[in-house]
Amino acid sequence: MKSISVLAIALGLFAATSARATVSLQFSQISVGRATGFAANNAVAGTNGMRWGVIISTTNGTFNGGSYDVFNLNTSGFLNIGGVPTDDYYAADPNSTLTSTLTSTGGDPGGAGGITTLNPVPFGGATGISTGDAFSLVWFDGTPSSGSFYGMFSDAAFTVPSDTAVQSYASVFAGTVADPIKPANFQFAGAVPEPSRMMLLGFGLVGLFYRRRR
Amino acid sequence: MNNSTTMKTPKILCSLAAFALAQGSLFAATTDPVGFVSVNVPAASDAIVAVPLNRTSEFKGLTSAFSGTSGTVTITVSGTPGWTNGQFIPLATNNKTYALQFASGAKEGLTMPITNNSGNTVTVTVDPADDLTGVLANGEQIDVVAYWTPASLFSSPPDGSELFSFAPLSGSAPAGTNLSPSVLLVFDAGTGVWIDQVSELSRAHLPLEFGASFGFRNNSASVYTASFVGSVPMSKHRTRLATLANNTDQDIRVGYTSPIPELLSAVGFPAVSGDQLFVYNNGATGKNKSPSQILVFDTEWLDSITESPVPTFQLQPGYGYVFRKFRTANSTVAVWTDLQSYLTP
Repeated sequence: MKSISVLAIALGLFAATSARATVSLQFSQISVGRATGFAANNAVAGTNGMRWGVIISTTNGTFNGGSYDVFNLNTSGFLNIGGVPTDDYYAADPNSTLTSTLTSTGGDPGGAGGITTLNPVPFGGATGISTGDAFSLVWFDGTPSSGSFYGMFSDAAFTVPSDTAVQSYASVFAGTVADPIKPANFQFAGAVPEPSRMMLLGFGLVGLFYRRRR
Repeated sequence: MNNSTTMKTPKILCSLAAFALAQGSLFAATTDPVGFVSVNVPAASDAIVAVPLNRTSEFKGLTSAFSGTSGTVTITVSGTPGWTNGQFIPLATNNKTYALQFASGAKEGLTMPITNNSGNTVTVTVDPADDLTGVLANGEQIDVVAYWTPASLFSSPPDGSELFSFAPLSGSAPAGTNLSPSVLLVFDAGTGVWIDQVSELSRAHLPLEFGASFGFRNNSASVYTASFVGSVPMSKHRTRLATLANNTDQDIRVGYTSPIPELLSAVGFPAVSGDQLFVYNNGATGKNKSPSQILVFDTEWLDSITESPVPTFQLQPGYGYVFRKFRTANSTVAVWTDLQSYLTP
């Protein structure tokens, strides 16, 4: 009975042990490199003061830059295209940090439009985020709205680490010359009306049609 | 962000009752002050803890001779301790595993596991990356102290509580970062025993490394208060920090052996540019928690998100941390040695 009870405890707790939580993603790292050059729309230099985060592809490893519906940059969740949810999960920065000028380190000159660390980033559970999922950096030239701009940047190294890990991606940006400027050149389309609104619009058009026929 | 102001601080009761210290050629009659530190672990949550107190010293004395300075060393103590042959063999006496700790000199705070003893000698294993250079063969103060174990630290936690410990640097620790636990234990309230989750054997008396941090998981529906009662360390804090492979960052589970909060900037941390310290909020609910704050060193400690200095950041008693030692061209050892603030003359 003792071995059964212990096994039951262990098995029952295995699910708990494998419960998932968060990861930490580092893009600039002292003595390694600086992630800089993130810029506003058509800018020729890094832009400070922009919000940023990551978009994680939870299923197919691809992204849809330029097609996403407007979303709230303060709220994590799955992104829509034409009102239809995608498998792309936006992880908002809980610290609402802004791009800024980062000093040189490890031979990297640093520069404006820099990002540091995103912590915590959700993992598992309802997000469906798992180890190895590809992600892309995203930064916003202003608050997302119809016609506003945002940028996305991916790299083969940008894959979600294991649960609870603190993972550095600074080597992607490390170097002795300034990072290339990455302008925010994706544009949000108009916000897609909610289905109920679509119906009202449809009724209105039908009503206008019959009125004109009379 | 400052750990001491933005997080719920642990419940801390520290009694530094000063007992009279009878100094003599053998100070076996002295008693260290007793301390009490507790950490509240929320329901269904993890805490990263490190014990800032020692078990009661079972012998205090002076060295009189060494058989060597590295590897397996036999140390002769002065006087006549009256030991029984083999009483300090691991698990031979009350399921204890013993260590010898230097309480003075060049290697004050160094602890070495005892493997055997005679009436007036102890045989210890010196870490392969260390030696007894600079230690007085004759006249160095020593303590014989038992390791904390799961049973001695957590005698009756909630049923199903888990304990995760990590391989020590001097043992089988793998090189690298984001390391998994090497030992996973679960507490079976029915038998009152800590069980290895893999072998299902009792590990109640597993020695826990001095100064190391480990994970405690409270699987119950209520807050659990992990209470540590023991001797206040009267020797320097000493921890070995090392990179284990070339050009590879190394995660090391650490704590600071002080029962009171201490400024990170004042504990002699041998940090170099690129080193990081991961801080965990033990008061937050949740399992498998990521660090609540990541500090990075670059001439001073900075918050890794804002890169603002954190001059008032304090190491909390009972809290464990992960120190990520920045990569070195070749594996390198640094020794973190520091005199706790309450021992400063």
